[in-house]
Amino acid sequence: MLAVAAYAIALAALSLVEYALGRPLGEPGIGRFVGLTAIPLSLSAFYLLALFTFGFEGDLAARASMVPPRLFTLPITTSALVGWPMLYGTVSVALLAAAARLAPWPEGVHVQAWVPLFAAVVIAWAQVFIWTAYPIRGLRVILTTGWLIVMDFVLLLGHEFEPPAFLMSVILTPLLPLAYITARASVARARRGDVPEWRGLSRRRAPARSRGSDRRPFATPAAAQLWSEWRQHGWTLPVWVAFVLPFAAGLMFIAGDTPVFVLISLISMLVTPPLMATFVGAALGKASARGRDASGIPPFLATRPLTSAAIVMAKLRVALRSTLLAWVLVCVAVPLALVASDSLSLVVDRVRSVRDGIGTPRTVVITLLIVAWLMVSTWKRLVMSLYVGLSGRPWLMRAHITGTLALLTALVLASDWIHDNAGVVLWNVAPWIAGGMAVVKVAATGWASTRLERGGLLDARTLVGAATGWLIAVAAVYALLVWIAATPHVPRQALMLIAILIVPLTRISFAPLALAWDRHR
Amino acid sequence: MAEPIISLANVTRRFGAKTALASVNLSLPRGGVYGLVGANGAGKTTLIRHILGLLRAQEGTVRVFGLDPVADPVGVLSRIGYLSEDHDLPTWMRVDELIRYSRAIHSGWDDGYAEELRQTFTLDATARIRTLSKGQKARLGLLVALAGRPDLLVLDEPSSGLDPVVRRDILAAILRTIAHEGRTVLFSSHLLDEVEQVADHVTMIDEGRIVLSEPLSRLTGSHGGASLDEIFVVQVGRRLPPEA
Repeated sequence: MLAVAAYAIALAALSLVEYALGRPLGEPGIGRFVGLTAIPLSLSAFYLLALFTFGFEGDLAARASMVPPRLFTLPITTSALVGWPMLYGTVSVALLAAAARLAPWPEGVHVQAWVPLFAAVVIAWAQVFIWTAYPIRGLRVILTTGWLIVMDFVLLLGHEFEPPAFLMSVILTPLLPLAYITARASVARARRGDVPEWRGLSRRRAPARSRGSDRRPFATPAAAQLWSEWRQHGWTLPVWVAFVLPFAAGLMFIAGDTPVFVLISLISMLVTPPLMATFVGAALGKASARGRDASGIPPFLATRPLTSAAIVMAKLRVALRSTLLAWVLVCVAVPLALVASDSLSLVVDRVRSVRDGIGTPRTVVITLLIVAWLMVSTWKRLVMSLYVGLSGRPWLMRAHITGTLALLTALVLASDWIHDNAGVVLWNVAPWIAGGMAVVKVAATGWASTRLERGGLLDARTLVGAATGWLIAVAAVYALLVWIAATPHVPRQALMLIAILIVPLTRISFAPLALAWDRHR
Repeated sequence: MAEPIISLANVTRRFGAKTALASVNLSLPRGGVYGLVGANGAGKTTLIRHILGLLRAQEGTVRVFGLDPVADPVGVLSRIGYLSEDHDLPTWMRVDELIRYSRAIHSGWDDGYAEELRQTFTLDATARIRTLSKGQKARLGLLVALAGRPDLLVLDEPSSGLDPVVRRDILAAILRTIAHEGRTVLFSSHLLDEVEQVADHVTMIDEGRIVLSEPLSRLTGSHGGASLDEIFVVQVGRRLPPEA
């Protein structure tokens, strides 16, 4: 409720300022819409969704109900246990949707009257899916995500066809009490400790003899830790990608004869792994997979004879394996989708036209580079925020999220103004900005390296090896950039700065320091 | 004189305004069972966490096997078997997976001993740890702590909240570790009767300060054969609450 109130107050304050000034803040355009409406609205909605479904409390993929067990012991009826959170949740998102009418929207777009009711139905049924216990691990994630995606489509269709508010109210209103009844039955069952079991699957997965003891022993402690990390986090990204890819490919099947839609669908499929990695990366940074309260390394892991660097290395390797597996799925799904939707010829024609313009070697290299960049970007998004989660400091995590969102919002808000007023100036200043960032990056890495060596986390030989590897990677990226993009308008010094900035090093260096900071408080 | 296995010198630790440990000096030689007793909140767990390197001394020094547990966690932890008060184990693993994982992590792991303990404790190898009872988790934690054949066994309130059968298992494991292998055990407890059963040396801590640290025989002798509970009342001025 505080988040909704804060958002509404911020919007109201902004409206007052604009009224006082007699003009809108910033130029009307996509930047203003994204910065003032899309980002805050989306984040607030997701926050309320997670809050009122107890999504912060535990493992979303678990079979058991997400209602915290401590609530089952309260001296209240199941009706109250379900009813009050559902009431708060539905009212909150409905108010948020209503408050969104105050926000700036692009011309021709407006929040229709039935949208608050629709938002209430979305969260009510999300609560049903999340509070229900399931026979198979991970089924909750699939069903809830599917529900949200379907509702997203419904909202888009509603915007497109503008159904009468009365009709939508007639359709949506009965869904609320139905959600309550369903949630009440599910929570009552969970309160009795009744977690359904897929008996056949259970029998197949529980052989008479232990499988673990028959397995070959781990060769090294690092192999054991890698296994542990993989079992906890490794499958998350590939599963999410496998789930989202069909939806991303959907447009190809719906409008496969329209080049622009095929291109949008193809791009959607290719950006699915890095986009999903942004969300999955937060979980990888947790030292424990146990919900919101799992900040910090658990005592069990902290008291194993493993160095902090070894624990971090296991996470980096798991991230790499997850990335590769996710991209295997993409590499299989894209050709399949193109062939099955009969869109392959459109893509081939487009590639041929590019090849005719820049030649076959550059076409091949640029294509491979784009795919490689997307793969590296996926891995980077998994590991770039490791140091935040491993620090075990909730205030640091909140500050990181808040700071990132504030910066993103400010950049988007300013984008239109920059484009119209300061583009040329920025172009001239950009090398200095990039140079400054490169200096900060190298200095920060140097500081981290000193601390790693003095703290005994990494020896000098390892640090020198890592630095050498980074330099080789930077040189390789620079050489590629020079071959592709060196022109009189793009000086080579700028390409060198770009290479320095895009090859990851600094934030990964902070990960073992952050873990040690948490491990030895 | 042999180097002490655990050495704390003027260790102080504060959490905000509260002083959890105040200039603690403790030196424990190798071999024997050391009982660390005190009321809840006295500083027992804080002291143990310093020994394990989970807390960094704000003042003073901590040495285990002559090493700084913060600077050299692997050197120290590879020789320690630890059972935490809340039996913190990865609940997603199965019993056999935890054993397989621990076997790789601990260089001194004894497979035969681990299997012997698993059968003695009647732990189903295929059971998920999250499905185990509190007592079963305690036994499993003890298995992991013992099967690595540690030089130092650290048990933090090992029998808290457990039934008498599991408590008996834990005490028997302590005695076996010492009797047959001559290793060192440090265990904290507010159950003084248990400490009296197995400890050779007792350290009393109250409000972050070491009240006394003596061999048990000398302690009881100097107090006219009084029980540890009565000695605690004399030294600290109050009786420890009974186990709920």
